[in-house]
Amino acid sequence: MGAVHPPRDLSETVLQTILDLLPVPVAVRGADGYLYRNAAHRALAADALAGEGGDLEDLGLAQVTDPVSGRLYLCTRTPLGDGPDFLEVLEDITGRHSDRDEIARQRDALARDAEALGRANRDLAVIDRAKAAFIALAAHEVRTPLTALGNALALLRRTPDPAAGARFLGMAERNVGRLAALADDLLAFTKLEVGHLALAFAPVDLAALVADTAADPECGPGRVRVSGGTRLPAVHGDPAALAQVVHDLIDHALENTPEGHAVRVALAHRRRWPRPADGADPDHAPATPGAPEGWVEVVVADPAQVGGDTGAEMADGDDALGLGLAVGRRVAALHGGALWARRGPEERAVVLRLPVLGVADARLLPVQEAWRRLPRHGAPPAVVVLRVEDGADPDPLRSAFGEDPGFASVPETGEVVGAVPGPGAVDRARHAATRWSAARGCPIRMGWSRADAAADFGAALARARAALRPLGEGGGGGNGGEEGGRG
Amino acid sequence: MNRKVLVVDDDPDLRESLACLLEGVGYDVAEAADGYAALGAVLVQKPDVVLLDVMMPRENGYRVARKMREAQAAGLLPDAMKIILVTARKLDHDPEREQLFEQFAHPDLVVYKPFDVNGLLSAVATALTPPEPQPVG
Repeated sequence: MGAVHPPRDLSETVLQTILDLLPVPVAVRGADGYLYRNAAHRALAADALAGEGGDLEDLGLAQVTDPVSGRLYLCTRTPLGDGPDFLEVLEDITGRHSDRDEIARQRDALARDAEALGRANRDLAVIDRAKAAFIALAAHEVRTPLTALGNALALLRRTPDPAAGARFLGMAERNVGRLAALADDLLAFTKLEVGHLALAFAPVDLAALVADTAADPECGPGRVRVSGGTRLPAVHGDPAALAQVVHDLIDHALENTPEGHAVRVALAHRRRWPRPADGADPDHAPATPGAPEGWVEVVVADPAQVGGDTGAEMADGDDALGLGLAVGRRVAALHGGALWARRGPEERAVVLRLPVLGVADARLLPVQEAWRRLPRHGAPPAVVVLRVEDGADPDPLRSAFGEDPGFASVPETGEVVGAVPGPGAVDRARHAATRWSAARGCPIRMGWSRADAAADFGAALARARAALRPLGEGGGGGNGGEEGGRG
Repeated sequence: MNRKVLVVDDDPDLRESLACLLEGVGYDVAEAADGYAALGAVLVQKPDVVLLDVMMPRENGYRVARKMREAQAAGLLPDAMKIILVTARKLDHDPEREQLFEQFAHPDLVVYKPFDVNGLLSAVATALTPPEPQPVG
């Protein structure tokens, strides 16, 4: 913009002409300095810009953007009667405005980081409490067989009778076995917690698992009564892990059931997540990669009297479930389901609910679990979708990501889906896919999406699928925004 | 006549081993496998000491202890009967909660599993020791 300096004594007509001609009604002194009415006015303008003065309008100031250059000017505003106000440029504040925007952005980013840090700290506090409670539970579970073992050894030392000695030796061996089983449970739980327990997914008939466990001679004849096991849909899960959960559920109930009473197992296909009366939080159904076609429910009830305030408190949480079922709770979560304790006046029940998912969605459960484990306090994690074209098998592409449990191939959709910790990992996935695609001449489409505030895996997956673009076109294709298939 | 101890625990090995240990040092022992059975047994057996597990099916030990105290207050059980809670439930991470439960149950003693056998026998003996007479005036 050229230097235009309308003198103060211009007539209104001339001034109006100049204002009409200019792209914006400004007067610019040029490179040799800014035009100010006086030093005091300059100081007021500086204060206003620094946010320490009054409102710009109160000072007779205005910010005006030149629509041609896009630059921003601080101007004085002088009313000229009926015509447009006379604007006099005080300063080009484009840079300062950018600085303020940048400061505001940084302030917002800091606020977001502080919020994320606060959230992470709160999460850590919850984890710490859960860890302390879990350690207490594990210690509690270990103490009983340890005490029995100690007693047996003390008795062995005291008794001269070989027959009694053999009995106490058997007692000692039995409790060593119980301790070993607890150690196995602890190991399994630890593996689950650190994500090292690989689950092999296949269709699982929960009714058959329950029937097998109920028929086990160890349960005792007539001690387990099963109802509602017909025409249940299969769930997709790890057969061995789910068999263990069902066994632990029934075994735990049998331990709490006096002789002469039976454990009741009720199976059902539920269309919806439970009502509040069912004891599970109705608003917090477990997340699943797709929309489940209902839930298969296994309710294992034992006739326990747990009413009353103190009894109710004691029956809460993992204390009521035991270590084996704490493992079951994690296994259920890994299957997109849940396991919880429910109390009634006449019985106590443990409820296992697993989603009925299509095969393609079920294959994504481990990715969802990996997504859950990704940190949320730094760069937001992302879901990456790579779709091989021409009906090719995505399994070989999956191998490009090694043993990373955050990636899974879904032959039904021709996709490899990954949960990755941030934009850098998205780029690495893109490069790996590009190399793989080039080496095999197999075109790939890629889409990705960052976590939203709720970190909903299903929503991020849907957005990543919606953003699928061919790799290698225009640097990888995509929408160039914060999510997409951009290369 | 021997002093009588009622051992209440749902774990058969613990029940049996405790009974053998107590019998070995001269106590008469009765057993119960859950909270309800304990409430029935205590009225019939009128033990001097109840060794009471906490985490049991059909009524936990805290509630059983409280009901026994109520029975004592109603004159259904002798005042001299002592209750020792024997528990694996040591809430180190939540001592206030533990204290709350113990106030609710009002036991004479609490023994935590795993315990030293001699320590447990000593706790039983201590519970049965009459308090020293207090000087008058």
